[in-house]
Amino acid sequence: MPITDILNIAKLGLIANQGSLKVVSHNIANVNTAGYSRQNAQLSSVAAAKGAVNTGGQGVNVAQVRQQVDALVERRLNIGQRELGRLESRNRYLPIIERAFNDLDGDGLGGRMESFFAAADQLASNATNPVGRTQLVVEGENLARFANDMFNTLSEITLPVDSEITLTLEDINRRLLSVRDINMEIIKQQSGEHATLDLQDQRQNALNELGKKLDILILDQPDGGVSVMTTGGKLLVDHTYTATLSRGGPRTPTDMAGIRVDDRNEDLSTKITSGELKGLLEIRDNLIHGQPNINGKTGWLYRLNTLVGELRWQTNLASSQSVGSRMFTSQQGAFTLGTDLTSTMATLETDPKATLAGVNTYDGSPPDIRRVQAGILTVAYGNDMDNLNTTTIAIDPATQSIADVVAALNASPAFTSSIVGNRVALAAKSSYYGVVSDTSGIMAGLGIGTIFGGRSALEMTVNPELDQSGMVGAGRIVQDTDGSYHFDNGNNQGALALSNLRSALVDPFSVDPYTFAANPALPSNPASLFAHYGQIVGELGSLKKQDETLMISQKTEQDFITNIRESISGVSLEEELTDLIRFQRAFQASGKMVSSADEMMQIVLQMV
Amino acid sequence: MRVTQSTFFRDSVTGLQNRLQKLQRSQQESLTGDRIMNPSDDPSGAFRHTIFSSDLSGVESLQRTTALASSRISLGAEKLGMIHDNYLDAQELAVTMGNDYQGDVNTLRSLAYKADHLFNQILENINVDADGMPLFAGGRTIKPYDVTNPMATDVRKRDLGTGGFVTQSSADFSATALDTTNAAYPGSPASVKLTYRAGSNDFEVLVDGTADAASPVAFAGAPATLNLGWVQFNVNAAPTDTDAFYFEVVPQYQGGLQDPRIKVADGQTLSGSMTGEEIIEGKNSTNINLFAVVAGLRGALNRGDTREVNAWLGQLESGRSQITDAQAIAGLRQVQIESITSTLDIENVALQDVISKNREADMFEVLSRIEQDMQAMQVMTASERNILSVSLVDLIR
Repeated sequence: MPITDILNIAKLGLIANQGSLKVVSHNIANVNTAGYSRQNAQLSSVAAAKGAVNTGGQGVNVAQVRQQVDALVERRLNIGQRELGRLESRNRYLPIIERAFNDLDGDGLGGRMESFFAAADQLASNATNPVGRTQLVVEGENLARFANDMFNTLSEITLPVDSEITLTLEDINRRLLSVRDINMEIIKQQSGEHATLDLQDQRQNALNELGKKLDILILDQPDGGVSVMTTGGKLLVDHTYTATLSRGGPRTPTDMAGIRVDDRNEDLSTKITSGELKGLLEIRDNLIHGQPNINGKTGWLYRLNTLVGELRWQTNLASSQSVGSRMFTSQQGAFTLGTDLTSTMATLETDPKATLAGVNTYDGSPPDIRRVQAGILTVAYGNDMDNLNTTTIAIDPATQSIADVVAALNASPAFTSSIVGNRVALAAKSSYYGVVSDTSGIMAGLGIGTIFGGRSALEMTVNPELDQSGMVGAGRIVQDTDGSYHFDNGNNQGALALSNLRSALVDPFSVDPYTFAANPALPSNPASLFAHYGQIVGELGSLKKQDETLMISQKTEQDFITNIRESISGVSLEEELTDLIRFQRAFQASGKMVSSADEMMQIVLQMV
Repeated sequence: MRVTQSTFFRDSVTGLQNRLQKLQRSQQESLTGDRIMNPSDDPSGAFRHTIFSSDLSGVESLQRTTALASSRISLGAEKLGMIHDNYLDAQELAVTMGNDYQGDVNTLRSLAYKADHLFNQILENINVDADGMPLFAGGRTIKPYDVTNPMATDVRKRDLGTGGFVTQSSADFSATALDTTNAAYPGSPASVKLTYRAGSNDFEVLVDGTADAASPVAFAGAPATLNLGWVQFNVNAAPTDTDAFYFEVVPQYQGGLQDPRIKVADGQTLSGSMTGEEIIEGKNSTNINLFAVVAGLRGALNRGDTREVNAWLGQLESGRSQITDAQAIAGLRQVQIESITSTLDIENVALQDVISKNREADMFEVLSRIEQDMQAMQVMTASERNILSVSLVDLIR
């Protein structure tokens, strides 16, 4: 073996160990780089030249630099990110919804309802007390205002959530472009047989971040590239193609602009199954705006509206059958009547979302008009409250329109009836009138003698007529044993009827939100208003607790997978420092070999 | 399994975060004293809290209204006691000035003022207000009795002007109050005595102790209507000579039929106060008009007729019994309300206890947890300081 071979082997040793030290150095430098996969130099001995005899090996070289990566772990990490993203989005907004329904500090809807019914109790203890009447109105206003605030709190979340959806889409678009660019660079470099390890790390990182935003599937391509699509099969990245997600597709069931791909008229929002985007969509479309008849969900805005609607209807039904301190000489309905006065009441639409759901056209009809049933309205009237006459008016929503009812009321001897300012207006034909009973609920449906007005929790108000405390219906007209009717101004039966609503069993969530007809698909649950409210609060609490638990569990799962990834791909400084010493020593030894070969050469030369 | 520096640091941060979250939770519980601050802290606890709070609010509201009702019933009982005392005074007056009184007639007449005073006291007591509303007006804001709104009582007769009173059938003899603006109207109360004189075929009319302006009133035979201008005497049966007919003009009840009912529980109510009609006129019971009895006594005293005064003793006794019955009813209602108040007090305490147990944190447990967490934090920080500082870097020069 020539001495020059020794020099060559030593040189290769120097180069190979220097290369290994470079890899160690690269690893140490990236010890804190997120998503970095540890690299190691694969050393390979150089075999003797072909035909050479008894010459031994020819040294060492770095055969390749490899990443320590487990593709399965990387995929699992990506899948975990999706669910984590979804839960994190929900957990950003759920506390705001929970706060709106938090009654535990006594400052909530439940507390307002308690004060309202306590005021009804007080009024019942002395129906002639004007302070008691005013107190009822004030507590009603507090309740209505709080319902408005709750509605606003919930609906105001919609805007930031919707804006965040738009921003998330922009972010996704940027990440898709980034994945495409890295992808193309990898394909290009690999075709030139250049190393692409760090680019692959960058791409995996970008895909993980993308996976947190949106549920994606990653398909490896033979040329080193990857294709990305949604789990629903919508292609997002493939070689040079990148999908562009944008707003403005078909309107979602909750009346917000949908999500479309490449401007195609197809809504992607219902096909997304996880990721931050899904979490945001769930908050907006299900947890806030979900409505059984629209998207089969029961959102908290719907629950609030339904509960407040039931409270409005029950109190209005009770108060509309009561009379003020001196009966009534005139009244005006608390609800506007809308534009359709000639269709039968049973076909009118009371919910603005009806058009979205394709039910009927919403014409601004009174919110409770569909609750009116066939029945009899009995009205007392006359000039002497001790001796009143009565008249009855038959009501049938299946055959009568609002205009028909107004005409029927006008035809009675008790009062004139007309439509003034799109509301029903009554005026006594004699000195006084008052409702004795109303089995149809028409007066509550038209808002006459009611406590609350407004179509939803947002618009809930106290009937402006109650500014005059004498108009509050605290008493009822009673029938004497001789069959005649009279009214005692200290009668408290109206106030008692309001007070009894505190524990009356109602079942607002088992009826169709449009028709108020019993819906067999919805579970029947007769309970008090407070029990229903408690159920709403409890279910919200359960949901948030469940999300919190899921998130903790998901984070633990992610930490576990991340630790596994770290154990495979992470950089251990101890390991690198050990390698540093190892390769440094080998490098020193190779240097020593050069010195030794040099000394050998000197000896040989001195021999000459 | 390989362990890297990243693993150490991540585990350290995760552990610290978990421990800090627990500490923050304990801090919140110690600051508020509550275990449930948000529905998600304990969803079923939050549900129970809503129900119990609503129940407690209902109980507190009922406590307020039953306390008010109790004070109304107490006031009513007090006023009934005062009316009872008035009646005892009237009874004493009748006993003293009755049959065996041998004194001066003027003394009797002067004592008629006492009867007048007793009448006014009864009127004042029955018209009492509670919480800005008449207590005995049966659900109306109008005073139950007003002297400007009089009525005439049933007619009673003493045969030949002696003996006890016999109430006459209204088909035979009746009286009707007419025009209170008539100049002859003496005001309420008034006691009218009509004595038939067969010789002159007329009626001598004494209003209290004074002859009416129209007296004597000629009688053409039954049926006849003797119109005094302010009151009318209807005769449908033939009287006998010296028969004396009596009736009183007293305030008539103008309140409602029933006092507003008191809510004592969900869907349950109790009768409130009694009506003036039940107390004064004995409606649905003895039918004694307390005003009429005192007015009649006053009239008898004014007329200086000790036998007539004596004749009122029976009515006074029955009237007092009527008041005692009313007091018994009021007492029963008071006992009932007190029993309900007591039940509500117990319910209130029980609900507060349930709410407290449902929501409040166990402070001993919270403090123990804080102590435990703090010790764990100290151990963790000490051990992390050692673990995270270990590195081969220190070995390389």
